[in-house]
Amino acid sequence: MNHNNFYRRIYISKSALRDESTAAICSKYPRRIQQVIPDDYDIVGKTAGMDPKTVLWLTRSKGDVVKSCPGTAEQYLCCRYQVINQTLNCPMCCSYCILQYYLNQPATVVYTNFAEILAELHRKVRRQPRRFFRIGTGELGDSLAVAGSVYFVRQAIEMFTSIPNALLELKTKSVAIDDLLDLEHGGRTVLAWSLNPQAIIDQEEHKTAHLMPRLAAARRAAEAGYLLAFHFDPILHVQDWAKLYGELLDELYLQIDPSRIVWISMGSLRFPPSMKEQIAARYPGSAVAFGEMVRGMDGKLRYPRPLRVPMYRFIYQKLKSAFSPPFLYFCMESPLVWREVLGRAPEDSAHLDFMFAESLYRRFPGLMTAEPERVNYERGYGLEIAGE
Amino acid sequence: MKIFGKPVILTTEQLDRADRRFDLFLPDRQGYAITQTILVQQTEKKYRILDGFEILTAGLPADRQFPAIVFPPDAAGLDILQKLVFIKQSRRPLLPVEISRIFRFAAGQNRSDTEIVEALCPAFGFRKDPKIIKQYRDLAFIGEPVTQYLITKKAPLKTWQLVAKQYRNAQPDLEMLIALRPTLSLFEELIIHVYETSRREHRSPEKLFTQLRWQEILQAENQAPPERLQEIRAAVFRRRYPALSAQREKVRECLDNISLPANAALYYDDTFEKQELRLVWTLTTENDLLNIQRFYSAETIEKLRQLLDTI
Repeated sequence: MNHNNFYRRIYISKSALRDESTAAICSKYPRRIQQVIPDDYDIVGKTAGMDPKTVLWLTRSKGDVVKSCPGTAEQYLCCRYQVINQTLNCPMCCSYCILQYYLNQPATVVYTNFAEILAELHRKVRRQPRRFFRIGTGELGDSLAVAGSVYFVRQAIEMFTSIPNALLELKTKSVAIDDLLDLEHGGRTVLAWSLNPQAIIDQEEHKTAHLMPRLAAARRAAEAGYLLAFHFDPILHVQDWAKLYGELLDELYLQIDPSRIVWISMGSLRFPPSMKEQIAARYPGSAVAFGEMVRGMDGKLRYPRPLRVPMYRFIYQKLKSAFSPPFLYFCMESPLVWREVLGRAPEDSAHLDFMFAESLYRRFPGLMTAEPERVNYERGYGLEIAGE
Repeated sequence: MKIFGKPVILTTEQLDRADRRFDLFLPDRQGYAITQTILVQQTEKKYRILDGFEILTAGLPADRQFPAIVFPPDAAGLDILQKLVFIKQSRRPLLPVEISRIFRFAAGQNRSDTEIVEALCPAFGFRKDPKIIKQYRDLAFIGEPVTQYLITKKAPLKTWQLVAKQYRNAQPDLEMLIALRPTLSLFEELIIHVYETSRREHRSPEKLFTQLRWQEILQAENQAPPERLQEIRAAVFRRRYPALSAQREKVRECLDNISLPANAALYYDDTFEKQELRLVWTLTTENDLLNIQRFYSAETIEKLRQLLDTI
């Protein structure tokens, strides 16, 4: 699916014209009206009533772009993931996606000052050399769905070959990996796919690639030497969920060698209560907002434990059955659920962060320069304030 | 067009009681007194009543005189509505269903949504957005008993909209419910849960009402109305939250096995996000203290353990 035909209007901040990437990105949209605007232009006023997904805004970032994943309330464990917010918003239309309701930009924003963003990243990672970071671009948008994101990640992939204490993760629901296959990645980039059964993709994940093409793309990525990851997030409680997810999990291990997978996450559907009506209005055919959900300790709606634990157990047991199972973890789950499903739980988010490093060290010799030490993960901060 | 001139003195017999096209304002029908200068529009033979209809229901003599503001015969429907809205809103807030009737009336004048929005939205104090018309248009489909219930209970717009949009074909079911005089919050809880369940299960609210034994429960003559409401509430909740309800039922069975002294209370998180029991003692007398001692037997500890496992 070509998401680059999606934009009805393209704005380019004047200051972005000096970035090489701007011309390259613009060349992808030769038939779209491209308007250069002053940096203080009121884009909000000009795009009133338009879906921000259909407006592209190339501009330069003003503050930090490399940050800690905000996670959720402390009652749920987070993995201390780090994010590069270079692209904000996504052309895909997943009914459950919080970005449609959470982002307040009037357009899909692509920051074009790649060199500065990568310098910020390098500077921050260097300050904690004994800690191993997982850093991704897929937090506020799909990593590969927008041309501006792909140009950026091409540069980021090459830069990560020279960073000994970090992995770059690119999360996507697309199959747009052709431009990445010939790159020198040095085994330090993870290509990750968010997975759901095809029936759920059909119903809830509009304008995304189908399941089998996603798996085929993952296989090609593995053949090109990339590490892989998968995210079962959000897991949806639908009729026949066991059958649907069972078939998907069987297919996953049929297509992909588990030893190439660095980690797999599991997370059930969750969203702020205010999103319920917005989902219902935007996706009238979707029942996703009307599942059996309760308000969790972080105030978000989520399936009650008696519903989500059996789903997690089922998926976990299947994933665990591989000869060399990947590191399996939950995104934003309580220690109680960890214990009920895995029989154990990280002591806290810092411990979970350390467990990632430990798994990578054990499973992928040569990826890290030294065995990770717990003490280096106990300080409760992320990249953005380290040493600042 | 000159609208607000000097009031003219008219008599009751000069009014055209048959022309009710501007009968848009619901509570005015219950009025029985001359409370205001009435608004009329001059027609060929008589005066068409625009507002102030309540005075006609008072059975006044035909020669009774009163002041009236007269709109000229050439005043267009949309212009009249605009002025009416200004005047009515200066007296009281309009009900959602009245706004709906005004929008529908305007649409019946062969005016486009854009023209309607331009003319009426500022009068209502709304932003000029055609979506507003859509929000209100369907409210007029709500049946009279439910409309009166929503007016009496001062229901918010959101509730009107939900009833109009999702329960258009289920008015008799709602009438059965309001006959039992539920509070607005219970009414809202029920219609929201039924609607959300119907969306999840891809079936209509009417179908769901049948499956819930809605009519049977609400019209059970051997039960008092509060009991019937309680029963339907439980049935709707069970359908909306089946896993949660089943889990709560298991907990209730465990709790039934534990003889809790009168001075103790046991709490748990009924969403089950926390696996936690809180046992709270109130100590006033010597006997209260002894109750603690008696309570913690090996048997009770085992039952508490089972309860903790269950939550």
